[in-house]
Amino acid sequence: MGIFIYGVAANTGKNFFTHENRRDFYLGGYTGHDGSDYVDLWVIGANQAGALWLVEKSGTEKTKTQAQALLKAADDLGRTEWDNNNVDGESSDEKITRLGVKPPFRTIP
Amino acid sequence: MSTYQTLKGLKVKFLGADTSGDRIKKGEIFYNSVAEGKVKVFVGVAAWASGGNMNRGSRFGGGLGTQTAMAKFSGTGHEKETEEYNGSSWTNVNDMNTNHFLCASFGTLTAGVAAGGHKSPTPRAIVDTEEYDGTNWSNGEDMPAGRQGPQGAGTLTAGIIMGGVLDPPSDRIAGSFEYDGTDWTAGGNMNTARSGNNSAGGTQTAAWIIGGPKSGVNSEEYNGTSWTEGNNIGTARYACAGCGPQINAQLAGGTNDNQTATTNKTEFYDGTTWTEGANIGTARYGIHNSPAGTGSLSAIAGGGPGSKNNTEEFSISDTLRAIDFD
Repeated sequence: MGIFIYGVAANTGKNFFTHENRRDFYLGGYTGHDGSDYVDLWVIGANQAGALWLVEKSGTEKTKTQAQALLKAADDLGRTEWDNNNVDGESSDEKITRLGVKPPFRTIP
Repeated sequence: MSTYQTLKGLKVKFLGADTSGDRIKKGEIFYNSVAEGKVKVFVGVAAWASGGNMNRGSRFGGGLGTQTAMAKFSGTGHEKETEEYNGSSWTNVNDMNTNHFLCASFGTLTAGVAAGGHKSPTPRAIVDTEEYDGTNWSNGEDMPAGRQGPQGAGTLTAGIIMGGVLDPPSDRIAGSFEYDGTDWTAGGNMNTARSGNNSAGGTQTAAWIIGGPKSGVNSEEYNGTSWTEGNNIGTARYACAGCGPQINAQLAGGTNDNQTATTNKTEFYDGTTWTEGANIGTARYGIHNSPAGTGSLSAIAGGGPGSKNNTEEFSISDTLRAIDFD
């Protein structure tokens, strides 16, 4: 078993993850995109508590490759949105001041 | 040889269960003599847990209040919109009068301030101030000069905003303005020019600030008159969520200078040293913070990349731990 489990589970808000969860296993959240909608993508410590948490949250386990693809799809959309967000007469420096730099591609651990 | 009784004036209690009402105190060691035969102790463990999701995700807006009485406002795509949090769920409330994207914010849910921000086209830095009473936003005195991406600390009647970008010119600035609830006056100049909203805390006479693009890991402290260099933070960052007084402050998330690496790290300040603590669940920057929170109790919401809508709450909960003997 690897260090992490990867999965998609909708963050339902309060108590979706608890203090106890955070003590029991590593948890890192990302926003991915599955081709039709944004999804909550989780990198979870690969122990029994982490695996059970994903099941309890009705999550869908992904391979690392699948998880990275979901993340890249969201990054592609963010970068395209940034490219298309322009104001007449605005310089590239001014655009960066307004929007921040073009979103980079992210890599999951 | 020292014994527990010599050191603490106590004997290790023999209890028949882990929870025995008021006989258990945090930090007190006891022996569970019936169920497990283990030595145990209740200790406070710090962690971030998920809170209620905001109705409208956003980044680079403002925040007011505490974990259980918090407001978030403005931010990308939600120019004047405001939501309130009660520690469980977010509710849409009255809009602001002006878009305060990239503003400074400080104070409580019922006595809060939003100052400055960004607009387009130039001049991009706005001078507008608004005050929130928990129901309505009202216009306060304009700042002496526009600021986009300044940072705030203090209360409605004793607040301060620091740094920001004027644009034009687009250089970061080191100056500060102080607010008494009626008028803005000039405060002391920081040693380093900074911008990046919500990465500061404390009071008008005991404020702290970190980061800002290109300013690396250094921090500064204000005594109401002048800024002095503080100890360095562990991870260079800006656009974090900061809160708390100098002796119990907290810093969560943030991004590097060019927003290519977002962090989930947190750091805590005791007035002398910054110490890394429990990570937030989702790395983010441009975060709505709870400026009246503390290093022990706080909430963060939203942020980028994208426009997140999720909330995380930091607290220290009492947890039972067994002590293992080899």
